[in-house]
Amino acid sequence: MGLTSRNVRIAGLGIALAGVVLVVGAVLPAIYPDTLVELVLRPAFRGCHQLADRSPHLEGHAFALCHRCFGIVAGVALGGLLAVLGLKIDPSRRWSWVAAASPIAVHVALRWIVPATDLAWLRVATGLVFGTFAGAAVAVALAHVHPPTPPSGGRVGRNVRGLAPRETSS
Amino acid sequence: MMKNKQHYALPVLVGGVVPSILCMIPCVSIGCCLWVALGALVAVMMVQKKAGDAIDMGEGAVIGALCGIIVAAVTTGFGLLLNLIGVGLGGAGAAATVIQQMGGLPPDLRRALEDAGIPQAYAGLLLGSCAGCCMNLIFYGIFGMIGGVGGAAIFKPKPPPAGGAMTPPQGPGGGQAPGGWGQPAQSPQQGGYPQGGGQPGGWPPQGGGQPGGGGGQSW
Repeated sequence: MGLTSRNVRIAGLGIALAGVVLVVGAVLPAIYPDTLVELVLRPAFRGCHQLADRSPHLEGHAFALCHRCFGIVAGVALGGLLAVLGLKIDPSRRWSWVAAASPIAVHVALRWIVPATDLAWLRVATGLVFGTFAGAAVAVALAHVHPPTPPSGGRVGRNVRGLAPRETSS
Repeated sequence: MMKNKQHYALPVLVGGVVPSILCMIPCVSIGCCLWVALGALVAVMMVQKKAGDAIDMGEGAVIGALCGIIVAAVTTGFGLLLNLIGVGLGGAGAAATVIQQMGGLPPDLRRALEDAGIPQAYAGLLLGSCAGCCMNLIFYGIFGMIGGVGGAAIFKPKPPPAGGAMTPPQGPGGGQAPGGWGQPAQSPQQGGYPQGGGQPGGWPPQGGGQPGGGGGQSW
């Protein structure tokens, strides 16, 4: 396993843990409503609109994140996990970002035309698709923040310029 | 790695403060976490414009994370301010009520707070703000990094068309022909990776036409 692969796995582990913390943080206010847990955690996700009718519920209590954001953070955890497991993606390609974001874009556009498609599971699923790609992409990107300095005339196949790792056998 | 960090200050500030404000405006906040990612994306674009060079993925992630940290700091500070004046979260009174419901603070902590002259209500508020700030940092940091890495990919300058003095590597796969610096490939598929000189953020070759390599310039 090359240094880049190891870095991706370490970064992926960090991203996966961060994603899990966010998922747990979003669910806890629904498990412990009207407690200090809710008082602390709900405002922590102020970046999300947190509209109750567009958020997942647990026994009548809304999560601290909306469907889409919950899907994205769950996807980030999944993407980080996939990076740990060795998934290789190239986040430097424009089209891959467009492809990952297109389910959200299509769904947002579609719900204006066909309101019946504005379904909770679709919001979660489209967020999950983007989040999974984004989590893995961020793991790959973070792995290149402190790249190894190759010895002069030394090993090949280590990308140190911020693109996806393409390890080759020399 | 962060070769353009002298250009970070203004873009990161803009990419952090503007989304913070947008997240706090009730009608506009429907844009959700999109604002944080967009802020980081714009910050990357600004750094790239200032530096006049391609921003690589790792640097994009760092810029995005910095934007996320600023958003977290601004929103936490603003939330704390609202709580202190009693308009956010029901004010300090709400925190005190919840603490009472939970049986109060642990005796040691309560004694320490009394010694420090901090009322229990404000202690709850402070505790909540600290915990909220940690969660904020993770939340906005992740979305900032997503925007930053996405921005680095989206605003990556297009590679100049191959031509002129470029020499394709001869061998298949890793290429056995002398590659070396400044000998970009005309047809990368013939010899593995595109060689350096023709690809922003590219894959400058090592001696002997082998791919990969390090420390090269983006162009």
